[in-house]
Amino acid sequence: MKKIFENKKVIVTLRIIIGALFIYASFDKMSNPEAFADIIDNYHILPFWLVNGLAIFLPWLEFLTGFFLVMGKWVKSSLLIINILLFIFIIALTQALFRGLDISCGCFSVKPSSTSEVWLRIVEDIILLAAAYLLYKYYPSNSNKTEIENNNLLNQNT
Amino acid sequence: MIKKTFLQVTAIFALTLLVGIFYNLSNPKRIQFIADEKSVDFTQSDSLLNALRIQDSLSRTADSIRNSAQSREDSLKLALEKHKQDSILAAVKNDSLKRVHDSLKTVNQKKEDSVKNAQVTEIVKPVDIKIDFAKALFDKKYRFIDARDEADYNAGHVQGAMNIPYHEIEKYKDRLSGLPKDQVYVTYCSAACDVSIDMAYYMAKMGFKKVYIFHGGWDEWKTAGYPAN
Repeated sequence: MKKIFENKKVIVTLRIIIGALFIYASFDKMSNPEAFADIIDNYHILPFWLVNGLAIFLPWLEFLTGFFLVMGKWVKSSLLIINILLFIFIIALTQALFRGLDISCGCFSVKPSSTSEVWLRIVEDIILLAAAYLLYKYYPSNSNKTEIENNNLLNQNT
Repeated sequence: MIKKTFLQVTAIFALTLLVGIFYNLSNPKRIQFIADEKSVDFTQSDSLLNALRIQDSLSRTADSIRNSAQSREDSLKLALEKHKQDSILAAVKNDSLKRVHDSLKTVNQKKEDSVKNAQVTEIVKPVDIKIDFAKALFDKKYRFIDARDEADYNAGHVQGAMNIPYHEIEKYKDRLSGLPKDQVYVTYCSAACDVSIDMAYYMAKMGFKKVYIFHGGWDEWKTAGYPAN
């Protein structure tokens, strides 16, 4: 696994895919905060006074972390937040599944018709979490990064 | 390294807060930062049920008065036929017939007034109702809307209920638009669900004026043994 993640192309591709997904996921929620607040409320896990705040700030948190990932800035910090977010999403969806709640996921769209099987969404999030975790784990810190880039350059030259 | 990550995470959160606040304040679809508590309010349910019961009893009384007046009118008509040669008797009977007509007119007027007064209040905001009022509305043959998915609806539903799954509302929007907006509708789902509430508010936004949310839903209806398919 470490070898795969030593390849710069893999890292950059994964970074951009995850970042773009988070940016895309934030758009509909940003433009329809009321609908998104209803969706959060339907999960029945948050007190009412937290619902609107989360509906306002969560899309922006997704957007900014996605943006930083795509731009390649503050990558580790963004990945840390994304990992925590995905973990929370999985918990929220799983409890909804087990409680038999008839809810809209609110994952990528706030339209009521955006509902699909909740377990499918959980699987999607688990895959995304695995990718984000591996990226976080193997993403080179600044000192290592230079070393890997140098190695890559050396490999390319030879 | 950890300190740096911590600082960056804090900076991202701070930026999120700033942008979020600014965007929400400038957004035409802005929402309150702290929502009002959603509570189910059954206070109108009981009073509406009483109004409906009063309307029923007034209607029954008016019917019985009208029936007795009708039978009196019939018997007087017979008597009038029988004794039409007797002018004095006929005059008396005509007079009494006129009185009966008057009383019948008054009764009908009273009935119309009472029905108008006791008629279900026109609302825009959906009203939370309990099972007894839902049953009364069912008996009045008002339309029930099952907001659950098709599979749940097919497994069992309130007799005659129309299935409009809220999660596929775009697909069923035409069906909803075809319904008259001034009629009474009762939305329901299972029991621990919100789609009936979402559906009711969606309908209210579409211009439906008399939408009721039956919170007990299918589970309570089934337990009560009320008519079902």
